Amino acid sequence: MIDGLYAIEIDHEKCKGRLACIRICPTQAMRYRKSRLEINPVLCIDCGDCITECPEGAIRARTDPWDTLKRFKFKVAIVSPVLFSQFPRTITPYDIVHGLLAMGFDAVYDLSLESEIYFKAVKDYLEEYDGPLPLISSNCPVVIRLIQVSYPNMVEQVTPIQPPRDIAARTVKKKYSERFGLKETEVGAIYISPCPAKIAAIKAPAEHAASYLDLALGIRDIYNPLLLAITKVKGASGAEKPVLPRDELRSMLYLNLAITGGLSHALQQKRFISVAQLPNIENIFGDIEKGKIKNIDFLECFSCTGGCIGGSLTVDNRFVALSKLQKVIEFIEREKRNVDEIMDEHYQKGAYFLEKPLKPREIVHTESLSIIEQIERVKKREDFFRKLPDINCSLCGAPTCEAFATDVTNGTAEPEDCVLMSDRKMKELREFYRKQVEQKKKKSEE
Amino acid sequence: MGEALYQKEFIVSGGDFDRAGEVSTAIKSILKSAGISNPIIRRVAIASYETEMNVVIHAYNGKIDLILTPDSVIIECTDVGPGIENIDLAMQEGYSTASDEMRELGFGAGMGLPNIKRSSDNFEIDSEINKGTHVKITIHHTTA
Repeated sequence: MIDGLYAIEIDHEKCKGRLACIRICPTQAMRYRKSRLEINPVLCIDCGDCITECPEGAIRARTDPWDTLKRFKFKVAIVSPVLFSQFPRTITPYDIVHGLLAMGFDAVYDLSLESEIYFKAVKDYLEEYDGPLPLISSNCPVVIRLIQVSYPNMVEQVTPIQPPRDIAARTVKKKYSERFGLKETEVGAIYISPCPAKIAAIKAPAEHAASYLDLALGIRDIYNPLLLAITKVKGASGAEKPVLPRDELRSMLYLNLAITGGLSHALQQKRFISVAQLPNIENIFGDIEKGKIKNIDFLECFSCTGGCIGGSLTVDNRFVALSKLQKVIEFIEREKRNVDEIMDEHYQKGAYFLEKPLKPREIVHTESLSIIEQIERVKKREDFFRKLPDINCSLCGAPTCEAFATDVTNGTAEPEDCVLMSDRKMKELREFYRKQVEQKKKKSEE
Repeated sequence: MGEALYQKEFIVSGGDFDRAGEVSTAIKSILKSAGISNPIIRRVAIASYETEMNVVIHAYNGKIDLILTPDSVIIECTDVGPGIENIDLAMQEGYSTASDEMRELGFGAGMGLPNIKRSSDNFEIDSEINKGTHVKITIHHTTA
């Protein structure tokens, strides 16, 4: 009874038709028709807003189960900086690294080096770029997909640089396969992710190339076993400061990557703005398309409030998490090595571009209409829309009266699906929701 | 050019910065659902936004018509306002008669009309002092 897309799956048994998801969906990809939730996979951008919004817990993130890790001879956890903000303040990043090792990972790899590389690659690209401005950050997969679906004109403005997690996966596979005489496929690059979008981005990268990452686990999914492992490790080593498996966790910039404004540290001389949350992003993208945004070089975008720290697979309250991460940043800043020195050693100019160019997502039309027919359709839709109450009650199963008018014109809904246009629909809904209420009553009495 | 398949009128009020930009957003969404290609939509979006802003910044009120023909998108704007004294000058990049108040708001860079012209395939403008300005922008959607 489960179906779904790359990022999410629906449990139809649990769905009670409460319509919260179809109202929140930023691309209007969801419909509730004939007592069943449908998602248009072409429009879904993997944001996970529906997961957070569903009051019944009927929509889940697709994550990889722990067992799928067993196929690798050497398992490397590549950790999102968000992970370090999710535990009580007494648990340090060092404890978390050791917890992951105790859990069964063979190595833990943070993104400090790759973040520096990413920042430098973005800066280099911006320096030589002469296309339309602003350039847009490539770190949040939801933003990339939103552009592909709703702002196809702007794909060329996405910085075509691989995000740090992908650069890291490439490094990890090479490094450990060489060190232990393994094939690269035997080294598992496993991302510890704050959101379903980054998991989906591994399975189906926006640029249609293969990701170097093999799998991803949600922070929420490994939280309890990890906390248990950390407690055990801490107990065993007593008050001693654990030794680090490698000299990671040195970079302050790395941790900033999870927070809005993080990239500004790398692009200090540039005209930079940072925007979070999809409605705000859509607002500014609309302005960019109109040519209203004129004097901005770089636009950092995060789908989630506050940045990745607000991802739907996190555990802690995002504001508390932010405060904790800032403390970790202060702690680590004191140990920072000279970044220029490190870059001289590792950075290869031009080596971090996306494997393939980003293109708009193809919205497949089942029929090809002439321009005259299409304009006729627009008129028909406007005529029908004028008959609707424009109150966006969503009872027809579409998020807005506008969306419903489009559905009717495209033939995927009937005019009678509107409760204000048909007594039949009203009666159907009354029966359906009465049943739901009775079930709820029964449950509470039990 | 062919007959109008679709026509819609939008009202713009001068000085209303609160709602400025709404007309071009609405036009963009109509063109999208009419299946007009993305590069054309972007050009129309820029031309209609600058036109709308010209009314908001300089005029008292105005109307913008969106006309779709089998081969073109036409944006026609008629405003009631001070008019343009020297159109040739106004067409030059960087020339602006925007008040200091408008410039403080970040408008009046003198790029409005040049931007519109650059985005259009055909651009007509005529103006009468103390009466108003009329602009007609044509962008072909079939040639691209």
